[in-house]
Amino acid sequence: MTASRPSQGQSLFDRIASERAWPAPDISTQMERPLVADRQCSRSGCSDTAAFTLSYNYGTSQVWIDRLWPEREPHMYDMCDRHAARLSVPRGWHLDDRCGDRRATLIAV
Amino acid sequence: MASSERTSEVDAPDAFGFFVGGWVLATFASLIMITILGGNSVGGDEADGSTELGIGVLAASLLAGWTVYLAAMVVASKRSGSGDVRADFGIGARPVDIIGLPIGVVAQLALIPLVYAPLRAIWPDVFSDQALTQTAEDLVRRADGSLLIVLILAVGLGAPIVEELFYRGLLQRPMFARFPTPAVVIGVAVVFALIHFRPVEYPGLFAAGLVFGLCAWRTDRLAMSMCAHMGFNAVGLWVAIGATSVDGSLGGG
Repeated sequence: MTASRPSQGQSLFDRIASERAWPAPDISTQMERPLVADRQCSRSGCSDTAAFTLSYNYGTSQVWIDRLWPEREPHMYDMCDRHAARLSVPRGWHLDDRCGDRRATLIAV
Repeated sequence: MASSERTSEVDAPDAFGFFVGGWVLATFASLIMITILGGNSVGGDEADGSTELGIGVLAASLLAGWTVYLAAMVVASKRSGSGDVRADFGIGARPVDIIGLPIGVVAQLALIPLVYAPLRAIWPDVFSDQALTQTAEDLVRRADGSLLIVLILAVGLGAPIVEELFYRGLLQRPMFARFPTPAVVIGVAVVFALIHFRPVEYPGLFAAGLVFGLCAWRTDRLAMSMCAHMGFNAVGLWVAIGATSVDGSLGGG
Protein backbone atom coordinates (compact mmCIF):
# COMPACT_ATOMS: atom_id res chain seq x y z
CA MET A 1 0.00 0.00 0.00
CA THR A 2 1.42 3.33 -0.99
CA ALA A 3 0.77 6.79 0.15
CA SER A 4 -1.55 8.74 -1.58
CA ARG A 5 -2.99 11.53 -3.43
CA PRO A 6 -4.64 11.08 -6.80
CA SER A 7 -2.23 11.98 -9.55
CA GLN A 8 -2.75 13.30 -13.05
CA GLY A 9 -3.71 10.56 -15.50
CA GLN A 10 -4.56 8.02 -12.85
CA SER A 11 -8.12 7.41 -11.77
CA LEU A 12 -8.92 7.49 -8.09
CA PHE A 13 -10.71 4.22 -8.47
CA ASP A 14 -7.82 2.71 -10.35
CA ARG A 15 -5.81 3.50 -7.29
CA ILE A 16 -8.48 1.95 -5.12
CA ALA A 17 -8.33 -1.18 -7.23
CA SER A 18 -4.64 -1.48 -6.59
CA GLU A 19 -4.62 -0.47 -2.93
CA ARG A 20 -7.55 -2.45 -1.49
CA ALA A 21 -7.72 -0.38 1.68
CA TRP A 22 -9.37 -1.83 4.75
CA PRO A 23 -10.77 -1.22 7.24
CA ALA A 24 -12.65 2.05 6.87
CA PRO A 25 -13.47 3.22 10.38
CA ASP A 26 -16.70 5.01 11.16
CA ILE A 27 -15.56 8.35 12.44
CA SER A 28 -18.89 10.10 12.08
CA THR A 29 -19.43 10.18 15.82
CA GLN A 30 -16.33 12.14 16.62
CA MET A 31 -17.37 15.14 18.65
CA GLU A 32 -14.73 17.62 17.65
CA ARG A 33 -13.31 18.52 14.30
CA PRO A 34 -9.52 18.50 14.11
CA LEU A 35 -7.50 21.48 13.13
CA VAL A 36 -7.52 21.56 9.36
CA ALA A 37 -5.45 24.60 8.52
CA ASP A 38 -2.56 22.49 7.24
CA ARG A 39 -4.66 19.91 5.34
CA GLN A 40 -5.80 20.56 1.77
CA CYS A 41 -8.26 18.90 -0.61
CA SER A 42 -6.81 15.93 -2.48
CA ARG A 43 -8.36 16.95 -5.78
CA SER A 44 -5.76 18.01 -8.30
CA GLY A 45 -5.56 21.78 -8.51
CA CYS A 46 -7.71 22.40 -5.46
CA SER A 47 -6.07 24.15 -2.54
CA ASP A 48 -9.19 24.50 -0.42
CA THR A 49 -9.08 23.43 3.17
CA ALA A 50 -9.97 19.79 3.71
CA ALA A 51 -13.06 19.16 5.79
CA PHE A 52 -13.91 15.54 5.00
CA THR A 53 -12.18 12.23 4.52
CA LEU A 54 -12.91 9.67 1.82
CA SER A 55 -12.22 6.03 2.59
CA TYR A 56 -13.11 2.85 0.74
CA ASN A 57 -13.19 -0.91 0.65
CA TYR A 58 -12.43 -2.33 -2.77
CA GLY A 59 -13.67 -5.81 -1.90
CA THR A 60 -17.20 -4.64 -1.18
CA SER A 61 -17.13 -1.69 -3.60
CA GLN A 62 -17.90 0.66 -0.75
CA VAL A 63 -16.90 4.29 -0.32
CA TRP A 64 -17.40 6.36 2.81
CA ILE A 65 -17.38 10.11 3.34
CA ASP A 66 -16.76 11.18 6.92
CA ARG A 67 -15.80 14.28 8.80
CA LEU A 68 -12.10 14.92 8.53
CA TRP A 69 -10.07 12.14 10.08
CA PRO A 70 -7.83 13.52 12.84
CA GLU A 71 -4.68 12.27 11.17
CA ARG A 72 -3.78 11.90 7.54
CA GLU A 73 -3.88 8.27 6.45
CA PRO A 74 -2.08 6.98 3.36
CA HIS A 75 -5.14 5.11 2.03
CA MET A 76 -7.65 7.89 2.67
CA TYR A 77 -8.29 11.12 0.82
CA ASP A 78 -8.89 14.52 2.37
CA MET A 79 -11.53 16.58 0.61
CA CYS A 80 -12.91 20.10 0.84
CA ASP A 81 -16.60 20.82 1.47
CA ARG A 82 -17.42 21.44 -2.17
CA HIS A 83 -15.85 18.31 -3.59
CA ALA A 84 -17.10 16.06 -0.85
CA ALA A 85 -20.66 17.29 -1.41
CA ARG A 86 -20.46 16.57 -5.14
CA LEU A 87 -18.69 13.25 -5.02
CA SER A 88 -20.27 10.30 -6.82
CA VAL A 89 -18.95 6.80 -7.43
CA PRO A 90 -18.88 4.51 -10.48
CA ARG A 91 -21.68 2.07 -11.26
CA GLY A 92 -21.56 -0.88 -8.92
CA TRP A 93 -19.99 1.09 -6.09
CA HIS A 94 -21.91 2.31 -3.07
CA LEU A 95 -21.37 5.62 -1.39
CA ASP A 96 -22.20 6.02 2.27
CA ASP A 97 -22.25 9.69 3.13
CA ARG A 98 -21.95 9.69 6.88
CA CYS A 99 -22.08 13.48 6.94
CA GLY A 100 -25.52 13.70 5.35
CA ASP A 101 -25.03 16.65 2.99
CA ARG A 102 -25.66 15.20 -0.49
CA ARG A 103 -28.53 16.30 -2.72
CA ALA A 104 -30.63 13.86 -4.72
CA THR A 105 -31.90 14.87 -8.13
CA LEU A 106 -33.89 13.10 -10.80
CA ILE A 107 -34.21 13.59 -14.53
CA ALA A 108 -37.25 12.49 -16.49
CA VAL A 109 -36.13 11.12 -19.86
CA MET B 1 -52.88 29.79 -28.92
CA ALA B 2 -55.41 29.14 -26.23
CA SER B 3 -58.29 26.76 -26.57
CA SER B 4 -61.45 27.27 -24.59
CA GLU B 5 -62.02 23.54 -24.33
CA ARG B 6 -60.23 21.20 -21.99
CA THR B 7 -60.77 18.13 -24.11
CA SER B 8 -59.47 16.80 -27.38
CA GLU B 9 -61.58 15.64 -30.27
CA VAL B 10 -59.62 12.42 -30.14
CA ASP B 11 -61.75 9.94 -28.22
CA ALA B 12 -60.20 8.62 -25.02
CA PRO B 13 -60.07 4.91 -26.01
CA ASP B 14 -58.54 5.83 -29.35
CA ALA B 15 -56.01 8.08 -27.65
CA PHE B 16 -55.09 5.32 -25.25
CA GLY B 17 -54.70 2.88 -28.15
CA PHE B 18 -52.48 5.27 -30.05
CA PHE B 19 -50.50 5.94 -26.89
CA VAL B 20 -49.86 2.25 -26.21
CA GLY B 21 -49.21 1.46 -29.86
CA GLY B 22 -46.94 4.46 -30.21
CA TRP B 23 -44.99 3.52 -27.11
CA VAL B 24 -44.52 -0.10 -28.25
CA LEU B 25 -43.42 0.93 -31.73
CA ALA B 26 -41.16 3.63 -30.31
CA THR B 27 -39.51 1.07 -28.07
CA PHE B 28 -38.89 -1.19 -31.07
CA ALA B 29 -37.54 1.73 -33.07
CA SER B 30 -35.16 2.61 -30.28
CA LEU B 31 -33.99 -0.98 -29.95
CA ILE B 32 -33.41 -1.22 -33.68
CA MET B 33 -31.34 1.95 -33.58
CA ILE B 34 -29.32 0.61 -30.68
CA THR B 35 -28.76 -2.65 -32.54
CA ILE B 36 -27.60 -0.85 -35.65
CA LEU B 37 -25.30 1.57 -33.84
CA GLY B 38 -24.42 -0.67 -30.92
CA GLY B 39 -20.88 -1.09 -32.16
CA ASN B 40 -20.15 2.24 -30.59
CA SER B 41 -21.00 1.03 -27.11
CA VAL B 42 -18.64 2.20 -24.46
CA GLY B 43 -17.96 1.29 -20.88
CA GLY B 44 -19.45 -1.69 -19.15
CA ASP B 45 -19.42 -3.73 -16.04
CA GLU B 46 -17.07 -6.65 -16.03
CA ALA B 47 -18.88 -8.22 -13.13
CA ASP B 48 -22.23 -8.67 -14.82
CA GLY B 49 -21.17 -8.42 -18.42
CA SER B 50 -23.39 -5.43 -19.11
CA THR B 51 -22.34 -2.64 -21.39
CA GLU B 52 -23.09 1.06 -21.33
CA LEU B 53 -24.20 2.71 -24.52
CA GLY B 54 -22.47 5.84 -25.68
CA ILE B 55 -24.41 9.08 -25.55
CA GLY B 56 -24.44 9.23 -29.35
CA VAL B 57 -26.20 5.87 -29.56
CA LEU B 58 -28.60 6.80 -26.81
CA ALA B 59 -29.43 10.08 -28.52
CA ALA B 60 -30.05 8.29 -31.83
CA SER B 61 -32.32 5.77 -30.12
CA LEU B 62 -34.20 8.57 -28.39
CA LEU B 63 -34.65 10.36 -31.69
CA ALA B 64 -36.02 7.20 -33.27
CA GLY B 65 -38.48 6.75 -30.42
CA TRP B 66 -39.53 10.37 -30.40
CA THR B 67 -40.17 10.27 -34.14
CA VAL B 68 -42.59 7.41 -33.59
CA TYR B 69 -44.28 9.30 -30.74
CA LEU B 70 -44.86 12.29 -32.97
CA ALA B 71 -46.04 10.11 -35.85
CA ALA B 72 -48.53 8.42 -33.52
CA MET B 73 -49.93 11.81 -32.57
CA VAL B 74 -50.32 12.89 -36.17
CA VAL B 75 -52.04 9.65 -37.09
CA ALA B 76 -54.28 9.85 -34.03
CA SER B 77 -55.33 13.36 -34.93
CA LYS B 78 -56.07 12.48 -38.54
CA ARG B 79 -57.88 9.22 -37.89
CA SER B 80 -59.68 9.98 -34.67
CA GLY B 81 -59.52 13.72 -34.13
CA SER B 82 -60.03 16.92 -36.03
CA GLY B 83 -56.91 16.55 -38.09
CA ASP B 84 -55.50 19.66 -36.44
CA VAL B 85 -52.73 18.33 -34.22
CA ARG B 86 -52.34 21.63 -32.39
CA ALA B 87 -55.98 21.83 -31.43
CA ASP B 88 -56.35 18.15 -30.59
CA PHE B 89 -53.42 18.02 -28.21
CA GLY B 90 -53.27 21.55 -26.84
CA ILE B 91 -50.08 22.59 -28.54
CA GLY B 92 -49.72 26.27 -27.85
CA ALA B 93 -47.94 28.84 -25.75
CA ARG B 94 -48.36 32.17 -24.00
CA PRO B 95 -45.69 34.29 -22.33
CA VAL B 96 -47.02 33.33 -18.91
CA ASP B 97 -46.10 29.71 -19.59
CA ILE B 98 -42.48 30.55 -18.86
CA ILE B 99 -43.51 30.33 -15.21
CA GLY B 100 -43.21 26.61 -15.76
CA LEU B 101 -39.42 26.90 -15.61
CA PRO B 102 -39.23 27.98 -11.96
CA ILE B 103 -42.04 25.57 -11.17
CA GLY B 104 -39.88 22.75 -12.49
CA VAL B 105 -36.85 23.99 -10.58
CA VAL B 106 -38.82 24.16 -7.34
CA ALA B 107 -40.22 20.70 -7.99
CA GLN B 108 -36.68 19.36 -8.36
CA LEU B 109 -35.15 21.16 -5.40
CA ALA B 110 -38.04 21.17 -2.94
CA LEU B 111 -40.69 18.65 -3.93
CA ILE B 112 -38.36 15.73 -4.61
CA PRO B 113 -36.61 15.94 -1.22
CA LEU B 114 -40.02 16.28 0.41
CA VAL B 115 -41.33 13.18 -1.32
CA TYR B 116 -38.33 11.08 -0.38
CA ALA B 117 -37.89 12.30 3.20
CA PRO B 118 -40.37 9.82 4.73
CA LEU B 119 -39.22 7.03 2.44
CA ARG B 120 -35.63 7.56 3.51
CA ALA B 121 -36.61 7.48 7.11
CA ILE B 122 -37.89 3.95 6.55
CA TRP B 123 -35.50 2.68 3.85
CA PRO B 124 -32.38 4.87 3.99
CA ASP B 125 -30.28 2.56 1.83
CA VAL B 126 -32.86 2.04 -0.91
CA PHE B 127 -33.62 5.74 -1.36
CA SER B 128 -30.13 7.12 -0.80
CA ASP B 129 -29.02 10.23 -2.66
CA GLN B 130 -26.60 8.10 -4.59
CA ALA B 131 -29.33 5.74 -5.77
CA LEU B 132 -31.61 8.59 -6.84
CA THR B 133 -28.90 10.47 -8.69
CA GLN B 134 -27.53 7.35 -10.37
CA THR B 135 -29.37 7.76 -13.68
CA ALA B 136 -28.34 11.36 -14.19
CA GLU B 137 -24.75 10.76 -13.19
CA ASP B 138 -24.45 7.66 -15.38
CA LEU B 139 -25.56 9.70 -18.37
CA VAL B 140 -23.20 12.54 -17.62
CA ARG B 141 -20.28 10.20 -17.01
CA ARG B 142 -20.69 8.80 -20.53
CA ALA B 143 -20.76 12.24 -22.14
CA ASP B 144 -17.72 14.34 -22.80
CA GLY B 145 -16.86 17.16 -25.16
CA SER B 146 -19.49 17.69 -27.84
CA LEU B 147 -21.47 14.72 -26.55
CA LEU B 148 -22.21 16.71 -23.43
CA ILE B 149 -23.98 19.24 -25.64
CA VAL B 150 -25.98 16.42 -27.19
CA LEU B 151 -26.91 15.18 -23.73
CA ILE B 152 -27.97 18.64 -22.59
CA LEU B 153 -30.12 19.12 -25.68
CA ALA B 154 -31.70 15.70 -25.35
CA VAL B 155 -32.40 15.89 -21.62
CA GLY B 156 -33.06 19.59 -21.25
CA LEU B 157 -34.93 20.28 -24.45
CA GLY B 158 -35.92 17.25 -26.52
CA ALA B 159 -37.29 15.01 -23.79
CA PRO B 160 -39.41 17.70 -22.13
CA ILE B 161 -41.00 18.73 -25.42
CA VAL B 162 -41.67 15.28 -26.83
CA GLU B 163 -42.66 13.63 -23.56
CA GLU B 164 -45.11 16.40 -22.73
CA LEU B 165 -46.62 16.09 -26.21
CA PHE B 166 -46.96 12.35 -25.79
CA TYR B 167 -48.02 12.04 -22.14
CA ARG B 168 -49.92 15.23 -21.48
CA GLY B 169 -51.04 15.87 -25.07
CA LEU B 170 -51.92 12.49 -26.52
CA LEU B 171 -52.75 10.64 -23.31
CA GLN B 172 -53.96 13.12 -20.69
CA ARG B 173 -55.92 15.66 -22.67
CA PRO B 174 -58.37 13.28 -24.41
CA MET B 175 -59.07 11.54 -21.08
CA PHE B 176 -60.69 14.64 -19.58
CA ALA B 177 -63.81 14.00 -21.66
CA ARG B 178 -64.42 10.64 -20.02
CA PHE B 179 -62.91 10.69 -16.55
CA PRO B 180 -62.72 13.07 -13.57
CA THR B 181 -59.84 15.50 -13.79
CA PRO B 182 -58.04 14.32 -10.61
CA ALA B 183 -58.20 10.72 -11.77
CA VAL B 184 -56.78 11.63 -15.16
CA VAL B 185 -53.90 13.74 -13.83
CA ILE B 186 -53.01 11.14 -11.22
CA GLY B 187 -53.38 8.23 -13.61
CA VAL B 188 -51.18 9.80 -16.28
CA ALA B 189 -48.58 10.68 -13.63
CA VAL B 190 -48.55 7.03 -12.58
CA VAL B 191 -48.04 5.93 -16.17
CA PHE B 192 -45.35 8.56 -16.61
CA ALA B 193 -43.46 7.28 -13.57
CA LEU B 194 -43.83 3.57 -14.30
CA ILE B 195 -42.83 3.83 -17.93
CA HIS B 196 -39.36 5.06 -16.95
CA PHE B 197 -38.68 1.62 -15.43
CA ARG B 198 -36.54 2.90 -12.57
CA PRO B 199 -38.33 1.77 -9.39
CA VAL B 200 -36.30 3.85 -6.98
CA GLU B 201 -37.35 6.92 -8.95
CA TYR B 202 -41.06 6.09 -9.13
CA PRO B 203 -42.15 8.30 -6.20
CA GLY B 204 -40.21 11.30 -7.47
CA LEU B 205 -41.23 10.89 -11.09
CA PHE B 206 -44.84 10.46 -10.02
CA ALA B 207 -44.68 13.74 -8.11
CA ALA B 208 -43.03 15.44 -11.07
CA GLY B 209 -45.68 13.98 -13.37
CA LEU B 210 -48.37 15.46 -11.15
CA VAL B 211 -46.77 18.89 -11.43
CA PHE B 212 -46.46 18.66 -15.20
CA GLY B 213 -50.02 17.32 -15.52
CA LEU B 214 -51.44 20.09 -13.38
CA CYS B 215 -49.63 22.69 -15.48
CA ALA B 216 -51.11 21.24 -18.66
CA TRP B 217 -54.58 20.93 -17.17
CA ARG B 218 -54.62 24.39 -15.59
CA THR B 219 -53.49 26.20 -18.73
CA ASP B 220 -55.21 23.91 -21.22
CA ARG B 221 -52.04 23.83 -23.29
CA LEU B 222 -48.65 22.19 -23.13
CA ALA B 223 -46.11 25.01 -23.04
CA MET B 224 -46.13 25.45 -19.27
CA SER B 225 -45.73 21.75 -18.60
CA MET B 226 -42.92 21.64 -21.17
CA CYS B 227 -41.19 24.52 -19.39
CA ALA B 228 -41.65 22.83 -16.03
CA HIS B 229 -40.21 19.61 -17.41
CA MET B 230 -37.27 21.56 -18.85
CA GLY B 231 -36.59 23.27 -15.54
CA PHE B 232 -36.84 19.98 -13.69
CA ASN B 233 -34.46 18.14 -16.00
CA ALA B 234 -32.05 21.04 -16.37
CA VAL B 235 -31.46 21.31 -12.64
CA GLY B 236 -31.09 17.55 -12.29
CA LEU B 237 -28.56 17.49 -15.09
CA TRP B 238 -26.72 20.52 -13.75
CA VAL B 239 -26.24 18.89 -10.37
CA ALA B 240 -25.12 15.64 -12.01
CA ILE B 241 -22.65 17.44 -14.27
CA GLY B 242 -21.17 19.19 -11.24
CA ALA B 243 -20.80 15.96 -9.32
CA THR B 244 -19.39 13.99 -12.22
CA SER B 245 -16.91 16.63 -13.31
CA VAL B 246 -15.54 16.68 -9.80
CA ASP B 247 -15.16 12.91 -9.87
CA GLY B 248 -13.36 13.14 -13.19
CA SER B 249 -10.98 15.71 -11.84
CA LEU B 250 -10.44 13.76 -8.69
CA GLY B 251 -9.59 10.80 -10.84
CA GLY B 252 -6.85 12.72 -12.54
CA GLY B 253 -8.68 14.26 -15.52
